[in-house]
Parts: sequence; structure tokens; C-alpha cells
Amino acid sequence: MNEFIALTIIYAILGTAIAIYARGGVRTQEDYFIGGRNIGGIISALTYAATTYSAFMMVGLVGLSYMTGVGAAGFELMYLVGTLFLLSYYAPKVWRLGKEKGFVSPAELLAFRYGATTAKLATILALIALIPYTSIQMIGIALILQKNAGISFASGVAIASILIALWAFLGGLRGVAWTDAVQGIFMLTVAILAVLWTFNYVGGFEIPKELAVVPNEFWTPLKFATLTIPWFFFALTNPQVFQRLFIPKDEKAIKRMVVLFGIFGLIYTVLVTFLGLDLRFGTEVGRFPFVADRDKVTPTLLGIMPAWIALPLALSIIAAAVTTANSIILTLSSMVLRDVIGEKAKVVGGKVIVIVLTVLVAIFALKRVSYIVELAVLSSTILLCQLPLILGVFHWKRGGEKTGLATLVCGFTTAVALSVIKHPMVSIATFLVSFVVFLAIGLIER
Amino acid sequence: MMKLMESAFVIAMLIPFAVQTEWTYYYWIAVATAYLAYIALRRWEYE
Repeated sequence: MNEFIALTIIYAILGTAIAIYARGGVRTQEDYFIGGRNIGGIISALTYAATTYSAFMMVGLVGLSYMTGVGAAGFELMYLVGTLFLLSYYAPKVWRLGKEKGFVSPAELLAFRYGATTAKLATILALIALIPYTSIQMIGIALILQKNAGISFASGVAIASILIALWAFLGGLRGVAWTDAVQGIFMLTVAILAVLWTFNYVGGFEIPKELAVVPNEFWTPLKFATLTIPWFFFALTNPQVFQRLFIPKDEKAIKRMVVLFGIFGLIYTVLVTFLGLDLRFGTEVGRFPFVADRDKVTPTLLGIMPAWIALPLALSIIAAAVTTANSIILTLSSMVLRDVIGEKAKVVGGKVIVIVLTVLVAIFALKRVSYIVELAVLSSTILLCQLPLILGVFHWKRGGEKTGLATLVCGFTTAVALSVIKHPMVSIATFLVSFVVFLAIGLIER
Repeated sequence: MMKLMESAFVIAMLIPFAVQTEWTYYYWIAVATAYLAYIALRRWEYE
């Protein structure tokens, strides 16, 4: 048997065993979707990190660092600082309000303040934004399986669908969180090994001069702002991470979650960007071929590495994709079930929706959409229109359903219209339009 | 005061766009590390 197939089978069996072991007694939707609000700080941190850091890191960000230099590290570290900035302030507030009001789905925070119709619309926007994003994760898994296991792309999508849906289906949030935790540790360990191997192979580390400074040809201040703004607010606008603010068992666990996530994020970001920059140094000294397509940098590295490190690295990319995708699917399932269908008691509906959404993502994946970074950023740009509404819950007493709906419609329309015409300021414009509409309608609405 | 301090870290991340240096990579890692340490050590609402 092909070594990679054997490794993937072991991974699938281990993950399934962990999900079954961790699921505990699932009686209510609160148990299924948010682990009964009883998850410890360490598991909360690891699931938060594994959910956040997708296959984009080891594929997209390595290539972006290789091609564009240290600006890629600044972009990702700015995301980290922004997330810590927001979480250290809002995570305890969101957790407290969630516990007090019994929120399970992230859109229930919007329903509480801006009405059920706003929550329904927010759910539809989340589906529009996150199904393509999740399909990219699935495409990544399928491509790795195609290359390493010698199977067809369609079979890769089918296997990816099973890997993504199974642990969420079996164990709900507990299954996802515990498998996330193990995979997160695996991702970090393999990243360390990959960096050590690359450093040794390349023969040192030096950042080529033209890539060591910003601004440069790629990282203009405008480009940096456009890419960074949606990510800076990711912690509040992306439902799969926002919902994780409901899961810690107490306030001490929240702080532990945020700080440990920060440590994980910092180490992982440094490792991944170091890898991209070191490979570029390798190109400069003739140890690594020049790769013109930035999304091919990691696949080229995998082709050079010996099997003992290439196979775990490929599997760690699959793990990164699975941990992000199944968390998104589970969160979207909670939103569809509770905010759109209105079923707030039965658990089985959530399990059915997990399967339906996974099939939808698979169909999208089979259509093969292009360029990872742009699509990942567009999804966060679409979700950015929720930001004023979420901040409004805590800071502004004005505004109701009309404000909620107008903000989402105008923000979403701006994001889509400007991205279609490839306007460079799409995220900045979405950010500004959403806030202006929110404030204007909020002032008018009684 | 606390919010001012936190905002200073965010603004510090943008300085390399104004002052070009070949140490940018290490500077960004240092600021992010310092901010993480600050978050870990400062008193949170519930403490």
C-alpha cells in the first residue's frame, strides 16, 4: 500500500476514535454545537487556533512570503495582534452575554439586538462567504490526496468530504474540538521539523534585500490595508471563531484560551513565514528552484523533501484544512438550524445539516475555483459587513431590525460589486459603507 | 490608559511602512511577542 494512503487511514481512524471518545453525552443543541459551555482553556485555545489556521498557512502564506517578502509576515502578525486586541476585550463580554441569554449560534447575538430577520440574513451571508472558502480547503485536501495517493480529484473530494463531516457528525463541538487539539499540536510539530529540515537543506537563513523591507512592489500601504482589514476583525466577523467564544467553561478558561492561542499563532506564523523566506534564500543561493506561481512553492518543497518529512507535512496540510472546514460546517449548521429553520431543541437536524452542507461544499469544490489568497480574503470581506452590528451590541444603544438589515445588504452589495470589478479598495469600502449605513439608519430608526 | 497602550501596539505594527529597515521581520515578531506578553500579564475584567 502507498505510504501516504496508510498514513491517511491511520489519521482517519485516530481522529474518529478521538471524536467518539470526546463526544460525551449529547442531549441538547447546546451540547452538540458548543460543548455544553464546558470546555477547558487549553482545548478551547487549540480548537480556536486549529480552526483559524487553515491550509492557507502552509500553502498560501509560505508562497506569499517566498514571492513578496516580509510584508506577508507583517500581514499575518497584524492579524494576530488584531485578534488578541479584540479577544482580550470582547471575549469575556461575548461569553457572559452568551451565557446569560443562552446563545448557541453566533447569529443569535444579532437576533437578540437586531431581530430574527437580521440573523437569518447574516446566516445567508455566512453561507455565501464560507461555502467557497471551505471548498478551497476541500480542494487542497483533494489535490494532496491526488498527488500523494495517486487517486482521482473526484475521489479526493469524496474522501475529503468524509474527513470533514465525520467528526462533526459524530461528536459535535466536542468531537471537533478534541480532534482540532490533537491536529493543532501535530501541525505545529511538523512545521518545526519542516523549518529545521529546510534550514539545514538550504544552508542558512538570510532575507534577500529586496524582500526584507516594506513598502515594496507588492506590499504598498494600500495593499497592506486592503488585505489586513478583513483579517484584523476576523475574530468578531467569522462565525466559526466567534462561536468559540461561547465554549470556555469559565472566565479563567477564556483568558487561558486567548493567551495560549496567541502563543500558538505567534509560533506558527513565524515558522510558516520563515519557511517561505528561507526557501527564497534557497533560490538565491541555487539550492531551491525558482517557483513563479506562489501557490506551487509548498508543492515544490514537498517534491524535494525526503518521505519522512514530506508525508507528515502533506498530512499536516490536510489536518489544517480539515480542522478549519469541519468547524465552519458545524457552525453554519447551528446557524441554519436555529436562525433560519428555527429549530432550537432537536439535535438530529444539526447532524443532517452537517451532511447537506458538506455535500454543497463538495459540489463547489468539484467546480475548481482559483487563487487561494484572494478568495480567502473575499470571504472575510463579505463577513466584514457584520462588524458594526456586533460592535453596536456592546457600544451603541440605537438601531434595530432596519439598521441590521440595511447594514448587511449595503455592506454585502459593496463587497460583491467592488470585487467583481476588481477594485483595489474593496475591503476598505465595505468597512466604511457598513459603518456609515449602520450609523445613519441607526440614528433614524426609533 | 489601557486602551491607549493597546492601540500603541497596533500602531507600532505599521511603523515599518514609514521607517524602512532590513530588520522589519524581526521588529514585527518582537512587537507581536511584546503584545502577547502584555495581554497575558495585564489584569483582565474578571480578575
